[in-house]
Amino acid sequence: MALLAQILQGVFLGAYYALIAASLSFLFGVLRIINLAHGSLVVLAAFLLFLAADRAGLPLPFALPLTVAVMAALGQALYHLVLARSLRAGPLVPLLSTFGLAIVLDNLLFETFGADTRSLAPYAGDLAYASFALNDDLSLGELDLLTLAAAFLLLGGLQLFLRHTRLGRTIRATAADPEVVGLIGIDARRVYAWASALAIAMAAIGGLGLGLRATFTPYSGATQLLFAFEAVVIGGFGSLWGTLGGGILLGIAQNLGALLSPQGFLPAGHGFFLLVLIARLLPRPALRRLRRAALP
Amino acid sequence: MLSVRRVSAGYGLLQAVRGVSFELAAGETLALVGANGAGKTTLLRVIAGAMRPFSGEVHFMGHDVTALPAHERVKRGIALVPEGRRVFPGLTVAENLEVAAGRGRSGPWTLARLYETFPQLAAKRKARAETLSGGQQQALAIARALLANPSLLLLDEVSLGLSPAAVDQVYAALTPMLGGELTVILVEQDLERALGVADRVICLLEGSITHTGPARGADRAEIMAAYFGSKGSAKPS
Repeated sequence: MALLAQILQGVFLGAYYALIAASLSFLFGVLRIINLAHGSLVVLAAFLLFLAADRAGLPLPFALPLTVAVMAALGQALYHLVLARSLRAGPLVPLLSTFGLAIVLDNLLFETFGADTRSLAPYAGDLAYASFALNDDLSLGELDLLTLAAAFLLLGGLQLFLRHTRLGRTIRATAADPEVVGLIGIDARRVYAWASALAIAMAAIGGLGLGLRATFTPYSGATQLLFAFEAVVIGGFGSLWGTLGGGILLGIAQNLGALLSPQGFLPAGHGFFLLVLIARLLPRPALRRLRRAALP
Repeated sequence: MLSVRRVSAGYGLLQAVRGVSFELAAGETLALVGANGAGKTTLLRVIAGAMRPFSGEVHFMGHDVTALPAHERVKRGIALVPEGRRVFPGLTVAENLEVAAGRGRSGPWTLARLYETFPQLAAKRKARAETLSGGQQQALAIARALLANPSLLLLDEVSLGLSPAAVDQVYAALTPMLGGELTVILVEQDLERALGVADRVICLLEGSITHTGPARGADRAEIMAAYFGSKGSAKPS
């Protein structure tokens, strides 16, 4: 039963990782940028939610759309001020510029909010600890179920948006061939700016997830980025449902690691990530040989 | 309607087009011929706005459009069918067309009319573009460009890599559009086919114009000489 409970916890944790990783995966799929500032943007969104809830006294359901709007505007600005310029300089420069941005953001947050540990849980009633008991040993947290539902809604909604709306189709066409969309009358830079706005707006949902399930400080971004990045790599860069699968596999690996040893959580997650990474980097013939050696 | 003035262009240090000038009247069909690397594709890309020339100007309908990006030129009526077709992979045939619809000018070309003109596309509406045959992809690329209702259509190597039957099909669809109001620049490897549909022919060699004249009754030997530069190579060095 402990095993089942740990696997279930892994699934829920993975859904939370997917909430954060969806944006990373989407931005990579469209702009071919690995946004190293994403973890810090998630923490920024968590602080904005905290401001709205704590200082302005807004209930979280009202604070969230506000934060989404602010983050979307920030995404537009980020594209025009940082991403577009660094993209012109080659594929490595966006990696450097978003890394720099992460450092700037982390320290700005520290200057503004100090080193205090915050959480959004106090503004959400009993959501953080309420649960349904399935039986004596097993119960499901309300927040966990909500996170899983949110991950499905976010990734499914994104998928539907990309497939069935005009802007979605335009984003896919631009991702496929940015030069040719210009030849059919589309300004690729405007499309990129909207895609960035969408990706950064998604950080608001990640920030809500972070603030509700855990505590955060101005320097929490790097850990969030690391787990999200691992989820995306495990699931396959640019694939949206793969991101959810990757997040869940990572969450399960971490929880099973914790079951084996109290210190097992992080090593199991990183180890699993490295295994998948090596498998992905291996040339195909080597993979085939491995598979043949493993099968009798 | 189109005036190309002393255009030089290229990639980095490589100069592909050297001081090319020509004028094109509305409704004219121009065949642009020349060997591989003669600068035909570069010249078309400069006219479409996909790249900026090193120097020179492009005027369209009386306006200097040299500084306009490609997507602005589409709105003024210039459309390029790029070399290698470049349909959007991962998008269906219908999505490839829908994404282009309503971006350029309004006019006779609508989704419904294009499906009538290219019945092979109507049958494949739901198929992903990259699964189509070469001829079907070419038809899709042409249809996608026509949705902008261009007055100047630039066709880059529409028969490249296609079976002879597919080439015939593409030209069968194109021919009714030629000779009307539509102005066309056609880059084509097949000299006979180019001369068959064009009013005028320009031959490029190493980025410069070596021959220009009417397509009808053109002297094949003279064009071949301009094509391969045999006159130039006869010069003592």
